Amino acid sequence: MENIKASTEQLCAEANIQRKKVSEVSKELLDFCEKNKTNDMLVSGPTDQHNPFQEKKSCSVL
Amino acid sequence: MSTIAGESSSSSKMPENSQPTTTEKGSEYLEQLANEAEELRKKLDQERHKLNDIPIQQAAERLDVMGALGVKQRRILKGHVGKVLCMDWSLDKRHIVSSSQDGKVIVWDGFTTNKEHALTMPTTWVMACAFSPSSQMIACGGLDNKCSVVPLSFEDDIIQKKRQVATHTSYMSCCTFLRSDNLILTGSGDSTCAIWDVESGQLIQNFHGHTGDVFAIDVPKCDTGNTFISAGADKHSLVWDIRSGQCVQSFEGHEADINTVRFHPNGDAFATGSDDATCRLFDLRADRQVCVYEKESILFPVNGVDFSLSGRILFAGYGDYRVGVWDSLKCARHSVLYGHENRISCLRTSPDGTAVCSASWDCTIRIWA
Repeated sequence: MENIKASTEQLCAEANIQRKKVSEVSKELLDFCEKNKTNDMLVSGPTDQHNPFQEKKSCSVL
Repeated sequence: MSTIAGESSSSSKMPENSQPTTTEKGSEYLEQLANEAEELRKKLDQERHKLNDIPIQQAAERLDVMGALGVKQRRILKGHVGKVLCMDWSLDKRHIVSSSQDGKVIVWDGFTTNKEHALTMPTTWVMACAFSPSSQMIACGGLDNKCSVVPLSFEDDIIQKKRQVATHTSYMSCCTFLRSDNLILTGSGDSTCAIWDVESGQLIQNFHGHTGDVFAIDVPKCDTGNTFISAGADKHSLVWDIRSGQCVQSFEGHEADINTVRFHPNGDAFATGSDDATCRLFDLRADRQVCVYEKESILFPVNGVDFSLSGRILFAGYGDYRVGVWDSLKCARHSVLYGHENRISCLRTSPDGTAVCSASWDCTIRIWA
């Protein structure tokens, strides 16, 4: 009984939230990616400074 | 690639176990509540469906295809003799903590691959570990049902300084510090999450709502809001209000256990990985699933997901030993990283996005960049 009551209240709260269209949130996700693209080393490669993980270890080779 | 959402159909699995009530009135009321819940569920499904106007991959058509990335294995951390179950980056973007099935917790220098600290926990299966924001402390736990913190220093035997902070009634599956070294958030097989005060070990807030084991939690990087997400065996991802302890949103779509969950760097969306061999993208503002990352040839569970710094790439660690590199916007797999020799258990992008780290049952941790 308590469970059902709680879950109904939960559903009620969830039904009343504001929502955006998928097209809108997609655009925002796209814009975010484009804006941060140059800083994303895994996408654009290291910028002026090196990626420390891409430098060879000093005492590597064999 | 035609379907974008797998939801809607199996909506109600609720009131079957409604207990027989003693009075007629009670059962009438119960029925009324159940009907109401059913109506709300329908309404919710309809509302969410209405907003599904243009699929994200269509919106992403204007973007260039990602070229070759040059991401490959750069480091391999060897030292565990059991399955590595969890790892976490330090905010210094260099150190890594890992925990394994044989009870060991190791702190590594990711640049040099040196081990800086190693400790043995009293029980095996250390399923969770985390670095504190200051990098001066780690938290870990698992089958001991506890979360312990250990301050890192080179002067003392650090295991002597180990302190228990949290106790659940079942195993602890995941933990992360919350904004500071003083608060820790845990998820457990007892189907709850909880926030604890590190200093006093006091329970600050607990979170009831999952109907199965919690396997994963995440806090947004740009931590301005007061929310976190959790997911697990009940196939649902729940968004919680930290202050009130209330669940504010719930997301469905997965067809099996959710093993991993990670916020998109924008803080408004999150990705999940599941035993159903798919990753999914959900958006808090759309209140629904936005994308499924799947391929017919992929049959194995996803145990770790994380985004690149811009959110363009979604990395996924699979049970088939591989790391899948997905274009998160075009919803297509870009490439695959090979190297591990057993299932991947955990995967994390470094805090500044320079590298991705994966932990595996092959006893190694590998850094890709």
